[in-house]
Amino acid sequence: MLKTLRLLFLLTSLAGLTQASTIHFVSLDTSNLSPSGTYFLAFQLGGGTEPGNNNIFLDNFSFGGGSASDVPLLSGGASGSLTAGVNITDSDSANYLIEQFTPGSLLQFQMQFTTNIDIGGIYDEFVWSILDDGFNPIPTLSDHPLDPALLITFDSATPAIQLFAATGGEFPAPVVDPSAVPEPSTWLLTGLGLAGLGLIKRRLA
Amino acid sequence: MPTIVPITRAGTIASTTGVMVLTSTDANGSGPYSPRSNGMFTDVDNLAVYEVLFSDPYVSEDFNISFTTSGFPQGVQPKAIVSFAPFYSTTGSGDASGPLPEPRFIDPCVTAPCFSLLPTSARTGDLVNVAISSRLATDSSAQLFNGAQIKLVAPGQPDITATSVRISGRVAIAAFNLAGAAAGKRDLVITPTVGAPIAAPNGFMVSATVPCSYTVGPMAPLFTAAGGSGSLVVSPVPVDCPWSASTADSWITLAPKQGSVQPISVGPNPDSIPRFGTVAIAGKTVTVQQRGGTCSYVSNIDPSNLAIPPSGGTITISISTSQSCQWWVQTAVTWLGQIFRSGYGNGSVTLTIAPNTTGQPLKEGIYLNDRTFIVSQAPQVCFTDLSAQVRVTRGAMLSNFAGTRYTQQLTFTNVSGATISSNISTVLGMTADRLAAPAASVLTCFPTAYYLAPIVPVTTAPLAAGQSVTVNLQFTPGKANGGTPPIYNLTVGTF
Repeated sequence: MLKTLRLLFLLTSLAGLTQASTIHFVSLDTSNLSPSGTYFLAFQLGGGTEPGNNNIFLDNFSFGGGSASDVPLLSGGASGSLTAGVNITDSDSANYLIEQFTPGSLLQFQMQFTTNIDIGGIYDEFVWSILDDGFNPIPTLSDHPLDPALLITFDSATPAIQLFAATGGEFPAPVVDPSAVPEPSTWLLTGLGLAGLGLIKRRLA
Repeated sequence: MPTIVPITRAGTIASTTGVMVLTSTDANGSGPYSPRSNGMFTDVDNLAVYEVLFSDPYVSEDFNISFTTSGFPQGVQPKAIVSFAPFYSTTGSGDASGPLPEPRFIDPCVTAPCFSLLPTSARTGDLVNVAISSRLATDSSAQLFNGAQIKLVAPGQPDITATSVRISGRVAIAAFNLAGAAAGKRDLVITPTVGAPIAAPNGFMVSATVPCSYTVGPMAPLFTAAGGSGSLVVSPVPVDCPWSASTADSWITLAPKQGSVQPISVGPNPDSIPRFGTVAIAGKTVTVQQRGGTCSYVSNIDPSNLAIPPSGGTITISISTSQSCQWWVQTAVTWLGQIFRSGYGNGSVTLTIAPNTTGQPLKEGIYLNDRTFIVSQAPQVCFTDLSAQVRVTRGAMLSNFAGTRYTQQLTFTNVSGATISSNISTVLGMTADRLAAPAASVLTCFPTAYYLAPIVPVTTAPLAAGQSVTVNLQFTPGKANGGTPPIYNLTVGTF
């Protein structure tokens, strides 16, 4: 019985470390974008061989003097808006949100996502692109077909976040806060697990 | 010295009695002369008439009458003329006969030598030799013919004089040219150098020219398919009528004629049906028949070399045979076109063979009548699999933000440990119409699983060990047009 409890706490603690979302603070200098231009923020998640196993949440958007239209174009497992927060699940459809925004000097938002790995060889991808008025991505230094400014391929538990500047100088590469820490719920879950382990150890002693 | 007068009775007289008159003439035919002795000329005027009896009136008989002449002038010869009366003696041999009926003499040779002619007729226009046989003794005949003029005469017609006379014993051969001679009887008149002319009245007949007619046989000779030789026999009437033979059929050969025979030969019949030809001969048309033979066929197919390239090609089969012979070309499988063609005589059939994309060698027969030609085709291999050398990482299948296309990035990494110098392509297991970009060709060769699938070029530059290259694919229709993300296999290799 005791061994069973100890294993349960251990698994709970590890699960919290794996599944709990990490908050990433993302910033993009948009000062080179024309305030009077028509731009869209586009976020897309999915495309792997195992749909429905990953999620990404974006919120706390600020535009540095700019604004969002609050009229999102939603597809597949995407919901929300730039104002209310964007939630995208990798359904078996095309999952994206597109919303027009008026650029200011600095675009910022927070990003949390799960990191499950698709079985089957094709991993989910998260793409953030900035579109022009024709819904075409502003070209970036990425060779990805969607010219992302930010690209995550969910091929590991700690996937790399790739950042790309626009090839035409419209914007530099985004900055993702490297000191991102787990959100409070993650810490809480992990702490509970460690406390449980300590309690068990004391009882054994 | 007794003189022997030979008497020959030729033919039958249906009588056993006859009358012989003995007279005497000199070389000029004068006479009779009175013998200086009794001899057997005991009658007055030196004319003795004897009745002779023949034992058999139906069999020729010869007998000699012997008498003595003396005191005759030089050159006088006794002459015996015998005529046979058509009556029967009721008395025995040697007895005196009863009174002789009239006429008592019917032989034309009463006062002149008898002639017999052969022939006794000829046609207008002929050159004819007439044998004139005298019944005189040989020396007398010679006296008669030597230097004599011999001609054919008729009232109102120009004389036809012998162009030459040859004498042999008691026979003179006189040549007459009957060109332009009118038809009709002619007297043969011999005018000796001494004495009065003598004639054979109506002894010769000039007949009108007779049109030639011919009988030819056989009129429909039949030959076997193997051919052979035979004869056409021509029977002209008159026999000397000219004739010739010819044919327009190349398979009939006419050798030079031999008398009344026209040799004919026929070559083998290459056709399966009988054939007919004609020979124009002596004014008639002979139909030559030949039975049909067995068809034979010659084709341009080399049985030992019927390997079709893997990329396909054409086979043109040319057939040579007789016009009446039917041929057919048949194949039984699709890759050879599955055809059936037929024709007569010379012809050709072209088979179009597609590339062999089955991955397996093909072998099948082409059937030309009862012959079979085996055609083989090696599989077409235009793809070398590089799956072991190149790792393919497929990015997520995402939609473009306009929803018009799906897009996916493929990353090709050289994991072979060495540079790959050959070009690298990938073939997608999908219909080519879904691939919007990049531009792709279509696979028309092995491997079969990807036949007609799009081939996407990856790189034509050498790919170093560990080096990667990416290709972004775009597919239509996109989500906005009702499309779903394509699901496909792929393989990588060099083409």
